[in-house]
Amino acid sequence: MADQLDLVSIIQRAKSGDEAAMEDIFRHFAPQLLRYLKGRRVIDPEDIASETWLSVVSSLSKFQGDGSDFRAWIFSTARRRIIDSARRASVRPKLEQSTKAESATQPNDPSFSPGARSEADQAVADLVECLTDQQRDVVLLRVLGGFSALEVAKIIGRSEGAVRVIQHRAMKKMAENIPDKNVTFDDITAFPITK
Amino acid sequence: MIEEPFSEEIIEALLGGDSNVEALPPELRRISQLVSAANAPAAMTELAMEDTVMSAFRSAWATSDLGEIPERKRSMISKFLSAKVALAGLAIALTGGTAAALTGVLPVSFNKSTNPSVSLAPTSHQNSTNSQVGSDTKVTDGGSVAGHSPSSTALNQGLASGKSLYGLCNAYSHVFATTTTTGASGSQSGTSGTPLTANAFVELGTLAKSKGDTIGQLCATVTQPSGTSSNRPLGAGNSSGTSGNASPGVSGQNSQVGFPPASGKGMGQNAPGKSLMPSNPSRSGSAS
Repeated sequence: MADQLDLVSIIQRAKSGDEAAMEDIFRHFAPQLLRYLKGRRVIDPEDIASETWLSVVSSLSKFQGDGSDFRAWIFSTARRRIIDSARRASVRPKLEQSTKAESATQPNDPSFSPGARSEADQAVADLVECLTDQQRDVVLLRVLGGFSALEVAKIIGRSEGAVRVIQHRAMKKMAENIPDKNVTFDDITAFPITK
Repeated sequence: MIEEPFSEEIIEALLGGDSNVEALPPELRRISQLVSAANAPAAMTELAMEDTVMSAFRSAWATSDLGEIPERKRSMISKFLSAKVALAGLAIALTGGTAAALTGVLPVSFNKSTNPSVSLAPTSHQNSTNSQVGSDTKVTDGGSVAGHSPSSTALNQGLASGKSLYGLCNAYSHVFATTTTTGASGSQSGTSGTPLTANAFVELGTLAKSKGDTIGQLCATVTQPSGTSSNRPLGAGNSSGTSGNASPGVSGQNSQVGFPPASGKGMGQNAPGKSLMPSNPSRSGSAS
């Protein structure tokens, strides 16, 4: 995985058409980006991730900046795609939405099988379970994007102070609501529920 | 309700994944564990779209390499230049048109290259040219015009084409009618400054003279150029017209078909179908 120091040269190589450099970029950012989209609870995270990458790839030759700027560019593109997706969903006929929801909740749908969710996805879901959408956005950008409070403020268009307030409230909420899972699965099954 | 157990440093350490779990309060340890788990290495399912992205990268690179951006630059440059050229053309047209309207004179090169009938209004330039032509032009025995300027040659060559000669003859007939009905000097020899003495008509007279005819006789043989509604000689009437080569003198002097009498009488009394083309009192006389 490319580290921060290599990222600038990797980006330059990718801009000059180096496919190996583009593969490094994708493998470096794709997992975090997909987890971010899942944590934001978008309807179809894979589709939005695909749109984001296509946008990044098509505009890569025009990108100027360092590794931090590149990371911010990718996540900003993803955020715009989320907004577009939400806008499309708001004007989509309700019948289509309900049909999709019914098909998604079917037991044989692998995306809703608890076993299909990776450990990382589960951790993200647990982390932001109790948060508002804005708090979720800030926490995920900080945890998965690796941005500072100032960088998050630039991405979401708020002040750094506002971001710090948001993340503080989010932390307090998480501390209140995330249980200490010292109790293992074996402990639960040791006491079967009886009627 | 949890007390405020975490400072700004603890929050930064937690969100940045740099926290020491053992040093954290118990209620924050789970958060630290979740943050660490969220940054776990990539699973294969999370890289499933790599092929799609890489193929998109190849096609995007090929497109941009073949000049997507230069195409846009060319487009901007061409648009910019087109706008500038259009503005320059508009400015030239406006200033040229204004200047021509103020002076009443079209540019010299335009006058030379086009039909002389466009500058019928007498000017000092035309008057001087007129007097020069009138004094220097002599008809030789062979019917050729001697002593005419190069511009006259060009004019005669221009008059040789059907359209310009037809238009000039037509204009001559109208000017003749106007001068005779308003009581102005209707003489074809005209005084200086009258429309009939305009340079174009002098040249028309010169051309007629070179052919041994009068202006009226010359114009009677001129047919309307092709592409117009009819193709008949100017001097012919509606139904009794003769062919383009017919002699205008049918019934003797001053009774040519379609031509008014030389005295200019009855220009407004012509029967319908009669041409307004003036005739020349003497067939062998000078047209100008």
